[in-house]
Amino acid sequence: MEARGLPTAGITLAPEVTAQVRPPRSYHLRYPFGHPLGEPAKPAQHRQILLDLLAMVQHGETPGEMRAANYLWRRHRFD
Amino acid sequence: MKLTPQALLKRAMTLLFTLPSVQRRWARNYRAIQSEEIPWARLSKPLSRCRVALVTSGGVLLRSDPPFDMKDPDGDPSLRVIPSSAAPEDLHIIHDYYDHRDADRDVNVVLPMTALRALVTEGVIGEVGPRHYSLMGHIQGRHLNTLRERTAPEVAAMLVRDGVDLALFTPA
Repeated sequence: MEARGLPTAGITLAPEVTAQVRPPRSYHLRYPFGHPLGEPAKPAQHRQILLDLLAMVQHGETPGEMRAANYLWRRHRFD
Repeated sequence: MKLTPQALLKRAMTLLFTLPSVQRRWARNYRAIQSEEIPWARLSKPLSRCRVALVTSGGVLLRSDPPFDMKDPDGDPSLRVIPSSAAPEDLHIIHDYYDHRDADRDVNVVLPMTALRALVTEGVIGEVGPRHYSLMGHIQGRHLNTLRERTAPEVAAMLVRDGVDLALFTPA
């Protein structure tokens, strides 16, 4: 996709796997599989994670960058 | 409904993989397609004018579409298209390899369509693309090449045709 001029960013729940694939921008959340955006019915959480991803595309300058979120599962307050 | 021994085993495995230690151990030992080069593109316009689409490997699809193939142990490398106007009740998840009970309750857990629309209203992004794209993430063996050589280029071409400026990926 990037080769066609389309920037991308992706969430990863398995950074060891993502490090092998080396995508352009990835955002590591220490969340259980099946929960890339967090918990159900938590729109503020989903919004914040999307904003973080968008910021990586907007401001990231390092190909292959993987940022780690510091949102603790079920403990971080997004509201 | 009575489950077969195979279905019971799959369910037990998905529950096991909700444990962080099991998740980490699997990830450390997994051998993915190794990439040498990192492709890189920049935004061509301000975010507030960008058209954004989602691509998920969470096995989300329209209820009216054919399901992903759960019988093939190497997974199903085919693509499903989801109109961005679809309502959550139009969608379901076919994926035996992760625990999607929370995503069944709220599909935004794997495909954040509602949050993305809200960002348009806020003026953070310009608009949502006409379609989102969905795959089943459990792809291995002979289907890895299909994914790389056929499905991924197909998604890229469709995103370009949709006039999308930026794509966000969500795994499961």
